[in-house]
Amino acid sequence: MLRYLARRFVIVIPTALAVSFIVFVLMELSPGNYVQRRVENLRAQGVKVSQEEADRLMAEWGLDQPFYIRYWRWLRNMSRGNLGQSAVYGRSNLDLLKEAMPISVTIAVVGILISWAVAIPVGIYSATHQYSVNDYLLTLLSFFGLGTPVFLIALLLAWFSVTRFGFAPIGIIAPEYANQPWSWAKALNLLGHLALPLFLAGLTGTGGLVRTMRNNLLDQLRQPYVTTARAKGLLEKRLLLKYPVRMAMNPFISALAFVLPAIFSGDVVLAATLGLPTVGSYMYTAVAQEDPYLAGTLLLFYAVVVMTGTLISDVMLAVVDPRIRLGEGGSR
Amino acid sequence: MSANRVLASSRTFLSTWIERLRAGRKGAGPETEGDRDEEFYYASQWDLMWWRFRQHKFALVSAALLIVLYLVAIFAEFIMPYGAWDRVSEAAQAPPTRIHFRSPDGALRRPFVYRVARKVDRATYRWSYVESEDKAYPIRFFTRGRPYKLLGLISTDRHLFGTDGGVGVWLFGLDLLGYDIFSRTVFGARISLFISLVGVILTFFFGILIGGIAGYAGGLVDWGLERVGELLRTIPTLPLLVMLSGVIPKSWPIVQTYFVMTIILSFVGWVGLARVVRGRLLSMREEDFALAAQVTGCSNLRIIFRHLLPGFMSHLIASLTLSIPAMILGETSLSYLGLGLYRPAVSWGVMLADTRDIQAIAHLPWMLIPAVWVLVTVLLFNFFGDGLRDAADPHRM
Repeated sequence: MLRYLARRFVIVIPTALAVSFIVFVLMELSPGNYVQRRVENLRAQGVKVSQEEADRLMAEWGLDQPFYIRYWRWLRNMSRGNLGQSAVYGRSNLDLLKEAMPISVTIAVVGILISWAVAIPVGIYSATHQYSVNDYLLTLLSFFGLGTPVFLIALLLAWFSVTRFGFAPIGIIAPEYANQPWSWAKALNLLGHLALPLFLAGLTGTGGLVRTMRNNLLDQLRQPYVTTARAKGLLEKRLLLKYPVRMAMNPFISALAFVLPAIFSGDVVLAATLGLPTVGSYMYTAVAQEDPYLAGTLLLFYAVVVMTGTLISDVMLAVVDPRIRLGEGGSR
Repeated sequence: MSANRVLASSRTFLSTWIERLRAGRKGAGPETEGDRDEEFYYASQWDLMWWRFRQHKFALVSAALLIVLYLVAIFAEFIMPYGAWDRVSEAAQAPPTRIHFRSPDGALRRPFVYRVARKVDRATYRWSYVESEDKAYPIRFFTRGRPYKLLGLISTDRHLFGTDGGVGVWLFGLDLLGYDIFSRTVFGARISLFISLVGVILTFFFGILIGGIAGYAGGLVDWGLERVGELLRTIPTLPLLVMLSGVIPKSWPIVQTYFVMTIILSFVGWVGLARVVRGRLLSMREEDFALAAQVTGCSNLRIIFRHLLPGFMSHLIASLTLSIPAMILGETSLSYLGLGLYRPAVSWGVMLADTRDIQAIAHLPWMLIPAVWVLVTVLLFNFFGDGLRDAADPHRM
């Protein structure tokens, strides 16, 4: 177990380095850099900036250095908690991230919890009632969930909400509450604004999870040990929950690793549709307004969260499933 | 491996096959199994797949509808009553045209429309449209309209439907600027449907090539592929695409942007496919027939493409079909955000970019109609792919 965990933790380092390298290459390929941007801003304000001054600024920020030195410096600065400055917002990237992170992470975590809570019972029902009318209905529904892009549902629901209730689920809180102290009305308003994104984040993984739960459970139910247990007269409910369901649960834990990226994919589009101040909204602005360093930092943030999620799910899998922690130690 | 082992295993391999063939020809069971079984034994893998696919009614209907969709995209100019860039600014934001079947006195008539006139609401300063019921304009088929070249070859000006006298039939209404949404949806299907096909072909090529090398050669290449796969799974797709779209210069012409986008979109897919190919190859290269091919002196490439790949081609095609929706959605999402294609290009995503403003959809809900088309297409591909996968699945004989 320890050996497996140690190995799993060590893998994180090269992966993180490689991801950071990819992100840095993308940042380099993107048009625009901090100094260019700043010089443009200054010129737009009517300040005369000569070419020499611009070159001096480039040297000051180390942008005239070769690629590998800048990559090294970027890594070093990040390890000290310095994520650099955003040219578009005129603030430090770290501040922006701190502001947006809680919202994005909350939406992601609650979204995963919701999809677990829905997918487990629905998957069990679907598998135990295979080929029934309800099973077909649920299959159809989960296909809708699987195939439908989140932003389209967001658009349809937002339209519905505006025309039916006259409530525009835009932003995270209505402007009249923004600077007020906490009250029930404010909390309710916040909840109203968060309901749609939370629902959509939950929807992201649910369709796929229902399908996997159903298929895995069906595979398990065909196994001889189920027949044996049934022959011995075990109660159906107890039989189901004790072994097959437990065996079919692994995908739910590994869901952390593949539902998280999906939810984060939705994060960007949701931010644009519903005007939420998530990490995605900053990412979107950064790319649209050519601030590659902010965009890269945020992309790296997403990757780090996904890596953490994968790590947690791997550790949990090893705890839950002895085949995994023991299989790694053996000769294979 | 020793020559003896090779010989021995190729001998068992041959004899099992001869036995199987013999069993097939004579009919292992009683004679009453009849021709149906005879047919079954001699059927190629593709025949078997088709028979199983046929039983999946959902998938069959989806396949038919998809063919219709693609035909619509190919013959777009004929089906759309107006040009994709024909602007009717004096009727901008008009709702879908009402098609009447009964004249005012209640008699059943051939479908007709009325001319609409714009009114300004003095309280809100919004436009609304009222029908002027003085003259009915029947809808006719094969009317003359804007000239075009069918399939890029045949010059004609016939359109599927329209009216005499140039009264608009806007099935899905007009958008903010006065473009016909129906015509644009039909025309936009080209980009939205074909970008995925180009992407899938690229995915297929890279996936098989790289997965094939990794699975057959193993070793360092295999290890590298595994790591790249892990990396790409770590970075969420859409943020990565968004970042990549930032790399494409805004000054590029649409065709070039379009092409680069397909490459970007296929990049997301090929790693997944390469892993599937690799896994299958790894298990299949241990089979007797692979060994037999090796003994006969086939080159590695020939073994991969002639002997191993056909064994799981059906499975590959199924998983490719299931990856098409992701490509369509990738294009739609990027263009919707304004980071992929943009005006004057016409695609479903570009059309939906207008709906980012929720106030606009509150007043012009028909602008959401392209979204319904995206949904339907994606669902059809999912059902179709699911049916294919079931049919290609050897465990469900």
